Amino acid sequence: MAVTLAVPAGVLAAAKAAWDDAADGLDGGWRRLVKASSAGFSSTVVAAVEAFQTTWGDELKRRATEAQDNSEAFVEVGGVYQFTDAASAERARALLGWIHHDVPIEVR
Amino acid sequence: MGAIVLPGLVDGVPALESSAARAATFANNLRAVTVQVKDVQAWAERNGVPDGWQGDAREAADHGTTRFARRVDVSEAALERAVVAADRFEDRLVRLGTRRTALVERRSTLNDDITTLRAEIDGNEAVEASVAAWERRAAVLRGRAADLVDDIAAWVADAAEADDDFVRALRQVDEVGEGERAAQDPGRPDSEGLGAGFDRRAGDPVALAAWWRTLSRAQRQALLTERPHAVGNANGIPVRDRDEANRAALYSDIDRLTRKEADGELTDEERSALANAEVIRTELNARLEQVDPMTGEHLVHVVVYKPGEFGGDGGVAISFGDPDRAEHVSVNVPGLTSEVTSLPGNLGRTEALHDAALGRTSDTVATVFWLDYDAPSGNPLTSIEGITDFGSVVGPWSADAGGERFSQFIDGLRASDEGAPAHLTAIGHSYGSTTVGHALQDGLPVDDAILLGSPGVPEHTAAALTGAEVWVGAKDRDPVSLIGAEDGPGTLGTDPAQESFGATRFETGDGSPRIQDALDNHTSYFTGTSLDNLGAIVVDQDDHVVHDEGRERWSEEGHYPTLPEWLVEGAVRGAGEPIVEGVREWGEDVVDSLVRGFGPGRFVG
Amino acid sequence: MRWMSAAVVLGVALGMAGCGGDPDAERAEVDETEQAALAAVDEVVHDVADATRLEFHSGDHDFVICGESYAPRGVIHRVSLHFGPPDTSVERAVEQAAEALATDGWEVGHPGNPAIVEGVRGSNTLRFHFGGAATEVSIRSSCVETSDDVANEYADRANVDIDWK
Repeated sequence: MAVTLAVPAGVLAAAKAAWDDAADGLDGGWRRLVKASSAGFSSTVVAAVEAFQTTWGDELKRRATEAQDNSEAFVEVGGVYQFTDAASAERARALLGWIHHDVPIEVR
Repeated sequence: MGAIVLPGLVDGVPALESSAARAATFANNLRAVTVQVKDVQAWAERNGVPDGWQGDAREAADHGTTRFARRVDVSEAALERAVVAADRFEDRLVRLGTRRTALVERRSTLNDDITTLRAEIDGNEAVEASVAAWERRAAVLRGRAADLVDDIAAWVADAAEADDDFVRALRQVDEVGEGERAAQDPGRPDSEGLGAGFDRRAGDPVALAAWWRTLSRAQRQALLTERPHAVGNANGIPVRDRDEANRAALYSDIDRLTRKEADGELTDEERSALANAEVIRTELNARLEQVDPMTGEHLVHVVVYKPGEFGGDGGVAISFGDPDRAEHVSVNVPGLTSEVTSLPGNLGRTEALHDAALGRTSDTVATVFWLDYDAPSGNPLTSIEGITDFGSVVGPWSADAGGERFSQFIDGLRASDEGAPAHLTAIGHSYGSTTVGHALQDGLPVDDAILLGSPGVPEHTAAALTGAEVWVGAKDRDPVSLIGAEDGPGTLGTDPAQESFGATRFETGDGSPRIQDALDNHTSYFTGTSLDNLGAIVVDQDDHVVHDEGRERWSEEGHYPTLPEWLVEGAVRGAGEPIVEGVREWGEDVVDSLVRGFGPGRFVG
Repeated sequence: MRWMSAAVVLGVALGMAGCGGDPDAERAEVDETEQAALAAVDEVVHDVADATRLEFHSGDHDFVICGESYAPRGVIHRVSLHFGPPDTSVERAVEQAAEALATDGWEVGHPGNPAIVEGVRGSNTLRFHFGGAATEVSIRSSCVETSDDVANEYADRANVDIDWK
C-alpha cells in the first residue's frame, strides 16, 4: 500500500526544500544571537542581555528543529514521495501551503 | 578681613560603563538575527491561512504552516522589541558621550582657574583691594564648581538610567510568554503598511526623507529589518539607518549564503555575492573598534550594499564619519578595475583622505567611498574576458550611466542632511572623474568637484560643465590624464587640466619619467602634496591649496608632453631598467602604431 | 580606431607596471617600517597613555597597498589603537602627547584640528586624536615601494592584534 498526496511531486519537493531552508535560517539566527558579544556593557546590562539571549536562542533553536522535522516529513524514495499511513500524509499536507490544504490523500 | 574660600578641585568625570560602539555592534547582530527570523516567518505566513478566511476554524488551526508562522512570530516580536531597545540605548550612549566631553572640558578649565587663583593668592601680599577681588573671583568659582558637580551628578544618574531602561526593556521580553504578548500588541508596527509607504516614495529622496522623519523608532526599525536591502540602499534614508539596514543585510546574507555553500547549493551569482559580502565584512571588522572620539559612536557607515550587482562586481559605499551631520562631506568615485574585491586599497585611500581632512579642522567631516556603478574592470592583459570588459573603459557609456546613479546618490545625501547644508565635494579618480563629469553636466548639487588623473570630461570648459568650483589634479607623467589632452585619443572628452578648460589645477608633482612607473603616477594622488591639497579642498580651506599651472600646449611655461611624446620618452628613460624584453618591444610597437594613427601632424614619422 | 588606441596605451602601462626590484631587500624595508611602528607603540604611545591615563581597549596592525589593485606600487603599514578618553581636557592631553613625542625624538605637528597632534619619525606618522568619549591613535607609514608581488604578499596578510603590555 502506497500513501501519497494528489499533487505533482514538484510541489512536495519544493515544500521539503522550503522547510529545510527555514530550518537553516532559524539555525543561523539562534547561533548568531547566542554568539553576540555582551562585552562593553555594564554588569547589570550584561545579565539582562544574557537572559534575553538564552531565552530566545533556545526558542529559535526549537523552531529550527521543528522546521527540520517538518522537512523530514516529506520522504522521497526513488523519485516518489510516499507516506507510511494516512495520518502522516495528513500531517505533511498541513505543511504545504494553504492553497493545497484540501488536496486528496491517495492510497494506491 | 575674612578668609577667602576657594572651592576644592572637582573630581574627574567617570567613564561610561557601557560603550556606544559595543551597543551598536550588539544591535547590529540583533538586527541580522531579526532579518533571518522575519524571512522565515514571512515565508510561513505567505503559505498559511490567508487573512479573513471564513472556513472551518479547526482546519485552519490544524494547518501546520500557519501554526509555525505564529510560533516564529513570537520570537520575531521579542526581537523587534530588543532591537528598538538596543537602538535607543546606543543613541543615549552617544549623547552621554558628547555630554561627557563637555563636562570634562568644563572641569579642566575650572580646575585650572581654581589652581591659578590659589597660586595668585599664595604668591601675593593680601591688601584690601586685592582680597575683595579674589573673594569675588572665588565666589564665581564656587558657583561654577557647584553647578559642575550638580551637572556631573545628573550625568551619572542619566547614564545609570540609560542602563536601567535598556535592562527593563530586555526583561519585558525575556520569557516566551512575554514574546507572545508582544506579538499580539496592537501597537506593534505594521510592516506591510510601512512597506507600502516606503514603496510609494522610493526614488524620490526628498519625499522619502520627509516621510522617514515622521516614523517612530519602532516603525523605522521594523521596516529596516523587514526590507534591509531596500532601505539600506534607498537614497534619502538617513545614513545611520542605511548603515543599520545594510549591516543587517550583510550579516544575514553571509549567514544564509555560507550555509548554502556548505550544502553545495551556491549558484555562481551567489558565490560572487558571498565573496563580495565577505570582503566588506573583513573591512568593517578591521574598523569595528574605530570610533569618533567626540561621541564614541562607530566611525564607519555602510551607505550602499549591493553584493550581487553589476554582473558580480558588486556595489558598495562606505563612509568615514556621518555625512548627514558633518559640515564637510566628500564622496570619492573610483575608476578603472574598481569592484568590491578592490575595496581594501580604495578604503585605505579614502581613510587617508578622511584623516587629512579631519586633521585640518575642528569642523565635522565625513568622507565617502562610492562604488555603485559599473566601473570598467578586469586586467586586459590577463584574459580575453578582461580585454572585452576593458574595451568599455574608453567609451563614455559606463560613465554616463554611472553619473546618473551618482547624481541620485548625492541627491539622497542632500535630502537626508541635517542642519545647515554640508559643504559637499565630489571627487573622481581616473574613469571615475569622467563619471563625476557626467554627473556634473547633469547638474550635480555639489560645491566643489575634484578631477584626478582624468582621461576626460564631457564639456570643453569647467563653466559649461558645472556651477561648482572645479579642481584638477593631473601629473604630467600620468598617461591616463593625457588621453583627453590635445593630441590624445580623447574618446572620453576634454582634459580638464588644460589651461583652456578653466579649472583650478593643484600641485600633485609630475610623477616618475620611466614608462614602467606610468600607472604608479596614475595611482598616487592620495598621498603627499596631492593628498594635502585634497584635504584642504574638502574642508573648504581653498587658501591652503597649492596651485599648479594649467596645461598649455604651445607655451614654454605650461608645456607638457602629449601622450605619444610621453610614451616615447618614457620608454627611452625606462629602457635601462630590467623591463621584460617582450613587453618593452610590444610597448614600442604600440607607440609606433599610436604615432602613425594620430597623423597627420607633427608626430607622423 | 581611436578608442582602440586608448585601450592599448593603458594596456601598455598596465603591462609595464610593477616590474623589477630585489624582493628580499623590499621585504626588509617593509619589515623595518613595521618594527619601527611597533616599537613606537611600546614606547611613546605607552608614555602618552600613562601621562593622560588612557585605558587601552584594543588595537591591531596591517598592511594595505599604496595604489590600485592593478598597480599596487607598494604597501603602507597601519597601526590602529583604541583607548578610552583621557583623564584630562583634550587641550591638556594634546599638550602632554606633544611633549612625549618631542622627548622621544618625533617631529611634532599640529595640523589644525585642536584635538589632534601628530609626530613624524622616519616614514611613520603617529597621530593622537583625543575626545571626551574615546581616544584614537594611529601610526601610518608612507608608501614603502615594492614590486607588485611583494605588495600583495603583505596586503594579503590578516590583521594582527596589538599586544598591549
